[in-house]
Amino acid sequence: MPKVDINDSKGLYETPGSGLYRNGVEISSTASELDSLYLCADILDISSAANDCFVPCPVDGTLVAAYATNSGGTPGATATFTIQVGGTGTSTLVFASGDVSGTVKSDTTLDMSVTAGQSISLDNDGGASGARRLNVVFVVEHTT
Amino acid sequence: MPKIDFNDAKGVVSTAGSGWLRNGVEISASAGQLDRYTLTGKITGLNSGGEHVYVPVPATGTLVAVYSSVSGDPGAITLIRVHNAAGSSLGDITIANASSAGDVDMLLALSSAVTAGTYLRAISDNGATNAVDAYITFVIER
Repeated sequence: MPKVDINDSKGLYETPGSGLYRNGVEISSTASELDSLYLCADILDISSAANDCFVPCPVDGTLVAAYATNSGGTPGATATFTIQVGGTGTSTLVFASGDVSGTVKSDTTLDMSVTAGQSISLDNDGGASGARRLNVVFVVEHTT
Repeated sequence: MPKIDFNDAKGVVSTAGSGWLRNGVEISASAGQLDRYTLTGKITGLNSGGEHVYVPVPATGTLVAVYSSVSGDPGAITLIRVHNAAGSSLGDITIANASSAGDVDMLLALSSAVTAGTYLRAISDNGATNAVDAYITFVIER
């Protein structure tokens, strides 16, 4: 169980322990976390189905998760958002009528290929009765 | 002072110099920088009461800094309060009166645990007299 330090003074330096270090400081992230980037977007008023959000993806990769949180109050009715890559996708994030501000919905089981230059989006069904806001973070893992 | 290259063709290659390379290209980031990621959201209308932004957290870690960039002169001192998901204040970012578009203010040296699946929040104190916006960037260390 060596502790491996990529050290500018010593080179690849192994000592008892575990973990990956850079110049004596541990890199805590997992491989998938190091491969991940996070793309943020929002919908200012989720009560209209015309209001979707699109964010361009700058790398080739796999969309592995999406997290969203509402604010401004409860949706007032069920609000459904479909996660799409290039306009295609069926997984949804569903907010209930009474979900208070700060409720977080997520899908961490996504496995959707995305190409640099494609858009990742949430297709809003406009189900909310109130002009509430939604912020979303898409998690993309790089592929080579 | 070896230079270490994790090379797909050669394996781990140590040569004279220093630094960490991947297939011959240096990885300049430090351990802390590699562990960090950022989340950005927008507060619309700093002059409107209680305008805020909630941003979902996708990976557990520690909030270490928050940055604000304003879209124009707020017309008065404006405070952006940062909250964690428990509702606790983590401090205020102060945007000065007469700030210009693009001015950046920040809250540094934070050390607040955040959990995947929760949120971070930034809220205006409604100090602004002009209808300007601010982008907020949260820096999280995994």
